[in-house]
Amino acid sequence: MTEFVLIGVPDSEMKQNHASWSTNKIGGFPDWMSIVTKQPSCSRCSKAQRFVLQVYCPLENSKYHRTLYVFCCTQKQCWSDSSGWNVYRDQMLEKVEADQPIVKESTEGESWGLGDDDWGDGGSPSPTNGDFPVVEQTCEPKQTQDEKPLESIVTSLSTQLTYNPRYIDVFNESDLISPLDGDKHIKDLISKYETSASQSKGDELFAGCSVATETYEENEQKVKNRAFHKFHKKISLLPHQCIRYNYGGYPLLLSDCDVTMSIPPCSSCGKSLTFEFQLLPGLLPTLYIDGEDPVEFGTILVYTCSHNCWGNRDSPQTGGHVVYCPDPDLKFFKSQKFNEKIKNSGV
Amino acid sequence: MADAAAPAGGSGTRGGFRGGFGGRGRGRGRGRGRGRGRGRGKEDEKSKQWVPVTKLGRLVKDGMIKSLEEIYLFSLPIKEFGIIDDLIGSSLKDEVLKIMPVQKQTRAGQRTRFKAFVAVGDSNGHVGLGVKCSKEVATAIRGAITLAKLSIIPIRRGYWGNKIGKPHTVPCKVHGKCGSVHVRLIPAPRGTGIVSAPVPKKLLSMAGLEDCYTSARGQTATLGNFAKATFNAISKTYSYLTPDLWRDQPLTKAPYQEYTDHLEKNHTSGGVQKQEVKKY
Repeated sequence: MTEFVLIGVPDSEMKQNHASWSTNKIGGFPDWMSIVTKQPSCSRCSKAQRFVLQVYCPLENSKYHRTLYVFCCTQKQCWSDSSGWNVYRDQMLEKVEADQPIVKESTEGESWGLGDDDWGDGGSPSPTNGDFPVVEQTCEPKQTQDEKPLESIVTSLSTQLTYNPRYIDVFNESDLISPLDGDKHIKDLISKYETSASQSKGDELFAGCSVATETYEENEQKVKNRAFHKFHKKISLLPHQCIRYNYGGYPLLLSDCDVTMSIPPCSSCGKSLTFEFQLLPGLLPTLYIDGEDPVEFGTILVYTCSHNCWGNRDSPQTGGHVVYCPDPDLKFFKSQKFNEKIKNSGV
Repeated sequence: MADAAAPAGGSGTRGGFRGGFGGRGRGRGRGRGRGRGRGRGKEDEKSKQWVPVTKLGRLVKDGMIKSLEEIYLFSLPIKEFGIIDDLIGSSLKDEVLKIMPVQKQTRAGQRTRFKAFVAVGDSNGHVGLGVKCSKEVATAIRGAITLAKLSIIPIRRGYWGNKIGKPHTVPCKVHGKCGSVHVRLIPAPRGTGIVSAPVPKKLLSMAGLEDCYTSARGQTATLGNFAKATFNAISKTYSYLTPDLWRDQPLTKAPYQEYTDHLEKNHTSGGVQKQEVKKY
């Protein structure tokens, strides 16, 4: 269960606020599967919450279509705490015959569609299948299942401000290679060092004068902030990443605080919750609305029911739990003088 | 597509595209209209941009913090080297002090790694020193540059005699120690130049010091300790209280003194039996 980690990256902007429940997207309006009449509201201030993103993530060996929706409150006191965030889960039984043209379950885990996936519309193909046409569709693709936008909800939500809707690109973490930038600069440094060393000593380049006395040195910053160092190292493989999906695995934490102790059990069935995905700081540039203080977090962890309880429901499940992890150095920003200075420079 | 042979400049090859979340084999083909065809060139440019992870990084990127001094003033920890690049990156120069092989004896022979010492500085009051050990030279140098940028420190410069022109030397005699190496920096008159061994000379010139006498003692052949001792010495320039910093500050009362009336009224220690003082 923990072998594969998926990384989501914000992609191009969408032209309309609505898509289907099977689209991974940030911002816009949520695309529910079932009929939803009640706008999610914050448990602290009871105001209506704003839609952040939705993730279509069906589980293995499950006959359900499954989408998770994340909401957050608009007030600063609320979104800076776990209680101002909410995650909803919506499921629908899969109708096999209707899915045929769109999804073909592939048994090999690692091949990503050598021509057997018809993605309907799509941009340029991935490198393994070079024969896909480059098609860009601006209208909604035909859906065989009922995915029409819900008119009643649209009118009530249209008065609210939402984030600009964007798609999400998804990659396997194991396929990322670390970037090799600045190679030329390093080559210049090495050649400069070679010339200066040969001038001064006249013997071979990397002559270690006292090899035995130099030992391996631990990076001081790494020792002090081990968790942050690991976090930063993983994120720098693909700096723009906004979601890290690892169902049943462990979250990447920003600091050494122990988060797992405070996860409550599922509110509907009482079983324990399991980690599903986390939101990363790469998401923050996309959560921007003119005239408002932007949302801030270090990382947001989303836990859902480990038994995926559903029953025969027709409205989204609220049993998940969201943990808000602030920036680890937040206490330094609390001094009044600093905040005044920032306000003055911003103006 | 040229993706598999993407230039080294593109970070995070897009070869692993999967399309959707969910269990293995599911959730594919569901993210619609991703428009990957357009702006392929834009993607590589975008991927070179720095995306901040910490709040300080975001503030720097948005331009709310304009100079490194503001960060030093409030003692905010700098955890991303992108912050330094953004603020003073254009004037920063780096130099490799030494690359040495470090060996470890294993059952299967000797395992050699390379240790790189890199100093970065803008010759105007900021200098950093980074050390990194790695299996390849290029990786070690790259890592050392990153660490050097994270360890950048401000330096105070002063005068030897007359306070004419710009500060050119250390403000006072300072010393630093690391391992057995003890380095002492002494102010020098204008025009002296840096009188020292090659290693601290590079560090001091990158710091922006024009004139300085030095005195070193101990096993200076251990370059790591020598460089770190010099680095410690120059970082102490700002922690030294010199007479020109003796500013008259208005005395403020301590909180207990200021609120003594309030405390007396509301928080008298009750229940303490006072011993009767016998009067003879």
